[in-house]
Amino acid sequence: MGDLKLGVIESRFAELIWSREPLSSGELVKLCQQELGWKKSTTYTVLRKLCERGIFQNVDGTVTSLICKEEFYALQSEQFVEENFKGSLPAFLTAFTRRKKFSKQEIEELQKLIDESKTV
Amino acid sequence: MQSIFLTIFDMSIMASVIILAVLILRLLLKHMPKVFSYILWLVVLFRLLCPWKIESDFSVIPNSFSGIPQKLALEEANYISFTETLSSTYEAIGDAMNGGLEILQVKTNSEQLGNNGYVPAFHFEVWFLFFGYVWLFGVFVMLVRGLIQELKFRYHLVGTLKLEYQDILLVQENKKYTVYLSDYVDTPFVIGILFPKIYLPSTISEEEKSYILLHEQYHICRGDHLVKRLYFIALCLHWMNPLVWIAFSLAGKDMEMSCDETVVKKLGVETRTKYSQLLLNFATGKQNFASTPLAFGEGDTKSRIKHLLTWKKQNIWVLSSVFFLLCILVVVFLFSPKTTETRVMGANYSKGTIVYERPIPPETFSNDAKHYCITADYHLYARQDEASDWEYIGALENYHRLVTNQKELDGYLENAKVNIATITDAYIVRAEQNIFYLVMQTRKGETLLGIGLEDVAERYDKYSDDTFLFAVYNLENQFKEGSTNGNFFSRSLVHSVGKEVDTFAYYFNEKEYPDYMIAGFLADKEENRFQDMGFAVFQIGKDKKSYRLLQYYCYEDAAFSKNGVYPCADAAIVDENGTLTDKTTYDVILINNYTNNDVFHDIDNDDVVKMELILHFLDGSEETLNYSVFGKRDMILVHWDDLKGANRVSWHFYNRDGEEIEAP
Repeated sequence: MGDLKLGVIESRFAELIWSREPLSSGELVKLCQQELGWKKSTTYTVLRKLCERGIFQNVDGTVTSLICKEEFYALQSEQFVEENFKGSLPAFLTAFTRRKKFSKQEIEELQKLIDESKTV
Repeated sequence: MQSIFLTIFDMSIMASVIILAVLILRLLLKHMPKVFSYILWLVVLFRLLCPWKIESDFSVIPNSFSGIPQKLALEEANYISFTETLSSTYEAIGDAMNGGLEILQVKTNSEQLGNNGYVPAFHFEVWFLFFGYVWLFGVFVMLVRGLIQELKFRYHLVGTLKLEYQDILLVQENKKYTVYLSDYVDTPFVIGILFPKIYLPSTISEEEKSYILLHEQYHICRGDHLVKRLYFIALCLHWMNPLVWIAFSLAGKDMEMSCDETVVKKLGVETRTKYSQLLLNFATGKQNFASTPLAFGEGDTKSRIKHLLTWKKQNIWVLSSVFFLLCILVVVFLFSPKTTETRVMGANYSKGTIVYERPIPPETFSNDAKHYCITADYHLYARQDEASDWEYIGALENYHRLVTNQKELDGYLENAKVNIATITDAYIVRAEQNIFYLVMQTRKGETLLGIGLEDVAERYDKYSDDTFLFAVYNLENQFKEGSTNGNFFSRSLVHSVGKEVDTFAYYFNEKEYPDYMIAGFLADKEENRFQDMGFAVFQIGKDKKSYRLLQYYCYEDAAFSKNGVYPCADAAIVDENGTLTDKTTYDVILINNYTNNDVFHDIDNDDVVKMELILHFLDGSEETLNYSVFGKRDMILVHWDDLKGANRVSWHFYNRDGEEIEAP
């Protein structure tokens, strides 16, 4: 797995693919031209960079993702907790709640999550 | 190519003086707005890039710093290839180590040169040629490096997002600046000459954006992106001058610092902490010696922060007076020293009026020469009068430039009651019996000759006053325009060819080549026949009072006769006694314009009644002259003047019936 970080612009680009995949590279080029003002060569270059990082793939002119959006952000969060909290989720939550306490709604949602994971 | 290198060299030397001055000034202006330093660096840039000189007496550059290369310039050496220069350089160095400014024979691959393919060149001319190539190579390397850096840089600029911003500085209404966000840059910068674009890292926050944009915008407003590029070109051209590298680095720093100042001034002094923090965040820590863009974080972050934090507003009166002084300095820095055109070398002189004389015992010095000759390659000859032979005195060494000699010279001249301030150049010859000669050039273009007695034992003792000048004379230049006085030029030739030469023919072409003269000579006066013969090319100095031997060609045994060459119809050469020689061709005919003023054409064919002579001139035009053959004459006489300086002649012969017949 390559670097799971996406820059601001790369995220926008990834979003375009995730929301419309699978799409032909030609369509992607047109899309990028519209949304980002990119030339064809630019689109291909950035696509290549992200393919090298193992996030997308371009097979026979069709662009699909190797990691879907949810999975990507999940992996990214995992990596974040791993790097900064030695993989301990409670530690993360402690840090998270340092400044703000949970709201009543958040507690209910969390409780629901815990219950669901217990049953799996 | 040589002249380009020499011009750059000259500019570099003079710019170095200015750079040193600016460095000192910069220290003094430490607490002034950096924009003052910036202006000074622009002056330096101008001096580095602009070859045209504005001459004035008010230049800060001492006279001896200007035109050094020009004084040593070799102008006609384009035919010497690089590989030959290489070997000649080694020879030159070796030669120089054995002492002397002797002329080297440099091998060339020119087809024009007949036999040995050698050309005379002075040592330093060969070195200059060599260093010229080295310099060119260096420039090439620098430019290529810059290009590669630029391309590598631009390669990273893919995948950007374009934003547009209004002119925050309100310098121009409705002016939009093109701003791009990129994931792949870690510091903001400006790139592009005609249409500068600002690139920002995508991770930048809104607040940071305002500071950065202000800074970069100010760069664009002031044209810094263009100035930086010009500075890089100057660096490429002057890569061999370490002062220019220092200037480049400091100019860049001052550029950034003055932008920092503007931002803080505009946003308020209290923002400087936040701004300094930004500088730290984006610090790249590297000194960028490339042509590429102005990166926000480049250069000496520490000093930039320090400068900002210690900066305080200056008194308006202080500012204006400093500004006023700066304006004067800027103008003065733009001036170059006046160069005097007269050259001491390459001229014949006769002793003129006495400036100073002090009686000395005749056994120490009795040579009272009337004529002096200073050859173009720095050798001094003297002779008693027209009837005597020239005597070699010695080689001239540059005396004026060494600072240690200035004091000595001062001392000598003081005793001789000559004002040292008038002397611009001086050369010394140490002759026999402790006599030394000083050849000096004055500001007014006059030449002085000082003769002195040296106490050799105390040569290195600067407190000794047993060395003194006992005579100073004015030397009068004997050069007459259009002069064909052989003695005037032959000294140089003798010195270069190494044999006693006898110059006998001169050719000036006032129209096309007013600065050049060709002189024919015979070498080896002893022999009367089959001597070495050659011709030399001289360049007459712009002041028309001195000359320079550019090159000479010497052909072995080429001269058949000293008194007359008889070109013959059937290409046989007959000597003055009428005997056929075994030479059948001749390469060069040199005729003294003023004694042989006719050209004889031998005609073998009795049928010839008329000759048509067509004159071909250099500009392509032609003229036809007609000559009739009267009676039984077997020669046609053509006056030299009739040829009107034609470059080439061709002829046709006609018989009684008007038909053209074979050229006899």
